[in-house]
Amino acid sequence: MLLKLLTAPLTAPLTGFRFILNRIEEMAERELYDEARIREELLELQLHLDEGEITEQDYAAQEADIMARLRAAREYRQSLARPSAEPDSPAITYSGQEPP
Amino acid sequence: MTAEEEGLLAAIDERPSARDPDEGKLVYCIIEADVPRSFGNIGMGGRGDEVYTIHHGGLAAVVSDTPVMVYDPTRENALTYEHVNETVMKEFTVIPMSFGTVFRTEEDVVEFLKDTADALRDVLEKMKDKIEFGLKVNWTPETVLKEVEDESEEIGRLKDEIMSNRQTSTYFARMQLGRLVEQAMSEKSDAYVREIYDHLRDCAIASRHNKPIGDKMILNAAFLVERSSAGAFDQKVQEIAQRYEGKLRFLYTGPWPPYNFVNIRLKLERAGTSG
Repeated sequence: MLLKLLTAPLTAPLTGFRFILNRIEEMAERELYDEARIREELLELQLHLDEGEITEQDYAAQEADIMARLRAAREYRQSLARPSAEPDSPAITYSGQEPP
Repeated sequence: MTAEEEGLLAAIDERPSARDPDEGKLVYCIIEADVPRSFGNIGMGGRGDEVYTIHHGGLAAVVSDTPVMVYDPTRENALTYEHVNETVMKEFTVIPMSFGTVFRTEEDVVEFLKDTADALRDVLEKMKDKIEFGLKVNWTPETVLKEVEDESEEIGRLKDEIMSNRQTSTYFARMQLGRLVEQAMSEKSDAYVREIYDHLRDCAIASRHNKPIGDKMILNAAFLVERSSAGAFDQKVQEIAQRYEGKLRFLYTGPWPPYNFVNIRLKLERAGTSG
């Protein structure tokens, strides 16, 4: 009891802080691996190119970056879903996405 | 080797180019066709793969050979995928497959056609002679902001108040101004969007409202149009674009296959995983 009282003010802020850190990490992770969001970024980039706001070269460089993140996100998702994502029917490999 | 297998191999040898039934198949779209077709060496993946058809029961999948892999949605790949569908669309009603759909073998494609035949026929019937147009509308936020400020007395008054009040705190006035401006702009955007839809509605069978991309876009829509009324739809778009010339910029694309009006993924999930 005494120990608890003594340590309470010390540990509480610490766990609070840790909690926040975890939350930040979670949020960062979500942002990093959010495929929908990365796709939106890609659409926006394509729009900039269509509008003539960026050059083909700029586009290519940024697209490469987006593709790398998309691949990472996909791998992350697959690593999470591994046990159940293994298709019941091996007949169909599906990796579709929204039309461009 | 059975006689049947030998026959199969002989048939493969007679094909115009090297097709491997055991290699992966990238499926672009589904059409109704009985006679095998080649659409040229326009396949995705940079190998110049032939785009051809795999048949079952009057339906055909338009495919090219591919390693079993995930295709990145790069601009190059997306344009190739679109180009194939546009080519096929010139002669057929197409149900586009989602970008990058890969089956392991020719047999798997046939299985898919067999399993989903009824649904595919149904959708093909619904999409018969229909095409899609894309319409994105951008505005210039700065110009609209100016308009909003000129039009609303209250916004103008608040702005003057903030400008002339350098010494005292204008925090709340600025908050209120921000809110009012945001509201006025969103009302304006809604009014534009409503008017555009109203103008085009009669010429379209259906429309789909997609999420605008970026901060300048107020409308990102797809319209399903009867092939025979494509000209009329075109005309309507030109009219509305002219009406708002200088205020709104219209990005008008198409004709597309009905990308936004067919979702074949559901069928795939059914056939592929959840049973």
